[in-house]
Parts: sequence; structure tokens; C-alpha cells
Amino acid sequence: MTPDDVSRALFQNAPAGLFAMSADGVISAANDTFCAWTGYTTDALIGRHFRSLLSAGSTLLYETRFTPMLQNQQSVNEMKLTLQTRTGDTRDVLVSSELRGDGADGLVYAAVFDAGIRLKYERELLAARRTAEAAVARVQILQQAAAGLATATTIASFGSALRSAAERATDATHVSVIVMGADGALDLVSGSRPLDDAVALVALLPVIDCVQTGQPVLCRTPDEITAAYPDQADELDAGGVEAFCLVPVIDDGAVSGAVACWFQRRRDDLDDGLLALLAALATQAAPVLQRIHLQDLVQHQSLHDSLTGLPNRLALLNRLTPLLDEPERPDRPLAVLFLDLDGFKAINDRFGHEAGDQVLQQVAERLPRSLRVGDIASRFGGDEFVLVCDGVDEDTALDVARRIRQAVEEPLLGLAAGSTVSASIGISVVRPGAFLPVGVDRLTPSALIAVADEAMLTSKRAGKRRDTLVTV
Amino acid sequence: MQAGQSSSEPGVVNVLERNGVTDVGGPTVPAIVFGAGYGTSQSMWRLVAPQFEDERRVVLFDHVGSGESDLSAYDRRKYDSLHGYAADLLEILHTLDLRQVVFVGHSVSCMIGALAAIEEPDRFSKLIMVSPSPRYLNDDGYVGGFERADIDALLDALEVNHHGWAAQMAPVLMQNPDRPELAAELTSAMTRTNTEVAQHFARVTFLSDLRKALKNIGTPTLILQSADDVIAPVAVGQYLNENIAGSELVVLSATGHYAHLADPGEIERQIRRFL
Repeated sequence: MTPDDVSRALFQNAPAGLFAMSADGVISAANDTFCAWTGYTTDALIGRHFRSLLSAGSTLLYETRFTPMLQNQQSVNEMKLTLQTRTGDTRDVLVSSELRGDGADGLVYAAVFDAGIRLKYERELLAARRTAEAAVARVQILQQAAAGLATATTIASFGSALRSAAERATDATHVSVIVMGADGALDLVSGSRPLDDAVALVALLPVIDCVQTGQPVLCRTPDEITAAYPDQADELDAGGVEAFCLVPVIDDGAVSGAVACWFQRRRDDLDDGLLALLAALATQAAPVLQRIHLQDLVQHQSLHDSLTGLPNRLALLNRLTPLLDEPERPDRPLAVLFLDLDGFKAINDRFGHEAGDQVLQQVAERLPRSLRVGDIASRFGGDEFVLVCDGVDEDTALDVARRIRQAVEEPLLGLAAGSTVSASIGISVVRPGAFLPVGVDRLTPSALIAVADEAMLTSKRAGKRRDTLVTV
Repeated sequence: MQAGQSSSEPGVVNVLERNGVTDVGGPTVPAIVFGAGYGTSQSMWRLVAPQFEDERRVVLFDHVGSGESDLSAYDRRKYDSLHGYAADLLEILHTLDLRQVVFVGHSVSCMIGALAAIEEPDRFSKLIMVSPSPRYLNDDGYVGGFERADIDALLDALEVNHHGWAAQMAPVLMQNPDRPELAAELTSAMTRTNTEVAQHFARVTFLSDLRKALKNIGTPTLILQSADDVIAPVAVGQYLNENIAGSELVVLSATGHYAHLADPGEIERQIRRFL
């Protein structure tokens, strides 16, 4: 054979497919090896688009990756593609190519290597790695959630830990952590939700569904949403919601909250695995939510009087102390009212302690109604109540005291119905820029209460049902 | 309502750097804004965009995760739908104070531009869509061109090929072979991230369904569909034409998914005609 014959034979029989195509992918020459691999004759290949020889997945890859890369860098090195042969079989190959020349004159030289065994191996590796990575990702999400939940001491930090774990698990546009209060009310404690300016949380049908049934809710497409919630599908569509999944947080068989994930595109890929992961998060969350509820309850009980529900003496001191320590305190007055019931002992003696308790409860209900929001009404002990009104001067304090006494004197209900009690009140008012006695560098809550207590005793001694005011 | 977008508040984030924005040409309004398709960057407009620079302000950008964009700005929750990309486009227009722009999109950018125009119609005067598709998967009575398994195969292929992506995703680094930081380790980490972004963007691009949004497009729209485009077949162009009120469909003589590279002159003529 002449050197030319050898060159031609090498071109035709090289252990690699060789072909040339125009810049837009029309084959203009191909060797025998490539013809054999594709199942077409040379004549059938020439004039054909290279992409028409690819499987559908590889066509996408070729058009969205191969072509731009070739255009931008004039070469593509070993891209893994799958040929679809004339008979419908597939063959995995590596394709390297170079673009020579510009525009319509450009010519692409390509070499195709059989990669069946290598790619099969890589695919198996890929599948194994994907499974392993998915498992690792799940464990990481659960561990991260466990760490965040373990240190959560408030509903807010609980919500934040659960939300960030659910966000990581789903990539959802909105993740809503919803907690059910003791009264059954639903509260969005962390995250965001769709339709927040159009539909109340308790009116979102998927949320209602989830918390009422205690079952997960899954809609992967707008059609599934329309089928499951025809009455709210339009609103959800207008809110950009195309898919959602919700799992309940269940504690001792009762729903205590929910995690809702809302998506702005259809998510046909939402599967049982993801629901199981969210359910695992909810399972982790349930005892934490119960613990925080209990902590809140203990906290509440330690600061409130169990009979009347009013803040107790400790809570009063806790709240009064910072008011007196405020640096701008000299700019405004503050009034402390010490109230002792008149006639309470007589009711107790006549109708019994239960009746006495009812009287205290009724008075406790009436007090806040005579005060502004932000004023403090507390039960100090026995039949004594202490009220704190910030920014109130002497005249206003006397008005408040009069209103309080009128409210207290209203007829009683319950076991002591028909009876009445009245109130003796002592008031201490701190004036702006109060001149403190020598040796006293600041007013203490106890001192202020003691002054009011003393003033109350003065009211008692003067005949009850009256006020005594002392300016400090 | 807009959680997950807090990281993209104008002023906090440099929008122009984030999206690798190129802002060239004269002050003549309206500006013409070019958006790149899936897997590509603004450089794909290199044969078309410069033709307008003498007469108009020309703005090009890359989607976060592609081209010259700031990869660290990639937020999986934000970019889990095309709405996240549309929000970025609107932020670019806000930052540059552009209104009534002519938006020219390729491939997935067409629907991103459409969503942005639905959200803020005042910002757009014309939409020009090159090889658009509102839905790539076939459905009852609808030919999108692909089945779910094809998309899964693409996702697999992206991963199998991931070692090759550094070259495509980081052209700047690759053009500086002297830079020592382009160590194998860095390339590997970057490639990993790029592969995850490419796969996620592929999911969002090829699995989204924007057909229901088409009726809300009020901006005059020109649809340019190649005669022979496997990614967006002519039937898809016809579907868009029927479902976007007052739209115009032109089937180009150019072939393939990259008419702006294959026949840039024709794309330029069509844009000028529609301006």
C-alpha cells in the first residue's frame, strides 16, 4: 500500500469514530468505524445532524452544553454522550471535537471513542454515590435539626431550627413552622407563607387539613391542588403556589403544630422519601415543642397568681425595677396604687373560702378594665392588689383610684351574690426629678410599695372606701 | 411573602456584580436587554448585541450560577423557580433605572423575561423570544418535545460529565493558566458546586410549567422559532403564539437552538423590524 492508501485505511478503520460536521452540526464526512457504530451507511450519515444520532437525554446535553462550549472555546474534550443507533440500541461514547474557522465556513472535527464499559462503570458509581450522598444529606439535616432543637428554649428558636432544616431538605420558597396554642389557635412562629396578605393562616385549607387530620398533605402540581382544594385553587395560583407539602407535629397523639413547605414551581419529584424526612423532622420536633410549652407554663406559673391569673409579687417587682432604673425616669411621673379590700373577711367568714376566692377572681377581672394597656395589675397577697401606672401624675392617679373603687364596688356574683366589697387605696407617686431623702440614692420598688401600703393603712384608719396619696 | 429574597435586597447586594452585568452603548431609549439561555452566558449574544451599540443602550447579564455571575449568590430556595431569576432581572432594571426596555431572551430567558414583564409591565415595551418554550415535557394534547426520563438522563449526563465543566463554567480562570490557585483541588470543589448548580438549574428550566402564565403577558411579543430546533420544536412556537395575546410568530430559516449564532444577521433584522 502506498502511504496515501495507509492514511485512508487508517482514517476508515481507526479504533475511533471520526467525522466532520458544519458549525451547526450537519455531518459532512465520517469514517467506517463511526458508520459501524451508528448503523448507518456513509451516504446516510452525510447531511444528517449529529444530534439526531443521540439519545434524547444526550440531545439535551449536546444542545445546552456541547454546542455553547464549542462556540465559546472552539473545543470540547471527552464529553460523555449516548449514541442511538439506527436499530434503536444505545452506545456510550466520549466525544472530543474542535471548531476550526468562523461562522458559516466553520468546520468541526470530531473523534468518538467507545466508552461502554467505562461509562457503565461510572454510571454504577454515580448511582451508588447518589444513594450514599442522599443518605448523608438526610442524616446531616436531621443532625443539624437535632442540634438546633436541643438548645431551643423559646418557641422562636424552636421554629427557627425546624424551619432551617426544612428549607435545607426541600429548597421550598416558603417554609412555615406553625404551632398550635393551648386554645387551638394557630400561630406562624417561623418562616413565611403564601397569601399572607389575602388569606388568614387558619383559613389556608391545606393547613386546616393537616392539623385537623394529623396526616401529611402533599400536592405536587397545580392540577393536584385544584383536585384537592377546588375552593382555594385560584387564590393559591394567584399567590404563585404550584406545589406544597405539609407534615403535622404530633405530641402524645394530638397535633401540636405543622411544618408547611410551599413551592413556586410544580415539584413532580416530591416523593415519599422527602415526606419521610419531613416527618422525621416533625418527630424530632414534637418533644421539644412539648418541653418548651412546659417551660413556658412553669415560667408563667412562677410569675402569676394561680387563683386570679394576675402577675404575682415577684412579677410585679421584676417589672417595676427596670421602670425605676430607666435613665429618663426624671422626665415623667409614676404612680403605685396599693389596694386592700374592705369587707372581704366578712364575706369569707359568712360564705366560706370558696366564696372569698370568687370575690378575689371577680375583683382581679375588674382591675385591668379600669387601667390602660401597659399598666400593671398584680395580686400582692391575701386581699391586697398593687397597681403600677407609668407616666401618671397625682391628679390622674386619683382619677384611676376612683375608677378602681367604683369597679370594685359593683355587686358581686356567685356564692357571695348580693354582697359588695369596697377598696381602701394608698397611692405613692414619684414626681419627675424627685428629690430623694438624704442617704437614698435611688428609689427601690419595695420602698415605693411600702409608702403606698402605709398610705392605704391611712385610708383604712380614716374610714375605708377612700384614697390617700403620698408624693415621693 | 418574599422570604428567601432578603439576601437580594438592592443596596445590600451589588446587583450588577452579582449578575455580571454589561452596560454599553448610547443613551438612546428604550434600552435593549439580552438574556442568555440555559447553560450559556451573555457571550452567546456576541454576534448580535454589538450591532445595536451605536444607537442604543445595550445591557447584557448572566443568570446567577452561569457565566460571569457571582456563584456565591446562588441560593437554592430562591432559584428553585424561574420567579427567582425574574426577580433578579427586575432588580437589574431597577438598579439601572431602566423602563420600557426591549427584552431579547434566548431559551429559558424568554420565560424569565415574561415573568418579569407580568410582574412589572412598565419596565418592558417589547419581548423578543428566541427559541422559547413554556414547558419542555410532553403532556396530554401538548407537544413539549421531551419525556421525564429524558430530563433524568440529562441530569445524569451532567453529573457523569462534571469534570469537564470547569472549563466551561469558569472561562476567566481558565484563560489565566499561570494562576496558581487553579489547583486541582480548587477546580474539583468549584466543579462540584457548578455541577450542582447546573443540575438544579436544569431541573428548574426543564421541569417548570409556565403555560398558565402566558395569558398574563400583556407586552407585545415576537416569537422567533428555528425550523429545526430539538429543544423547542415549532409546535411549541405555535402554542406560544396561540396563547400569548397579540403575539407574532416567525419561523426562522436558521436551524438549531442557537439561531443568534447560526444566523445572527436574521436575528438582528427581526429585532430591528419589531422595535
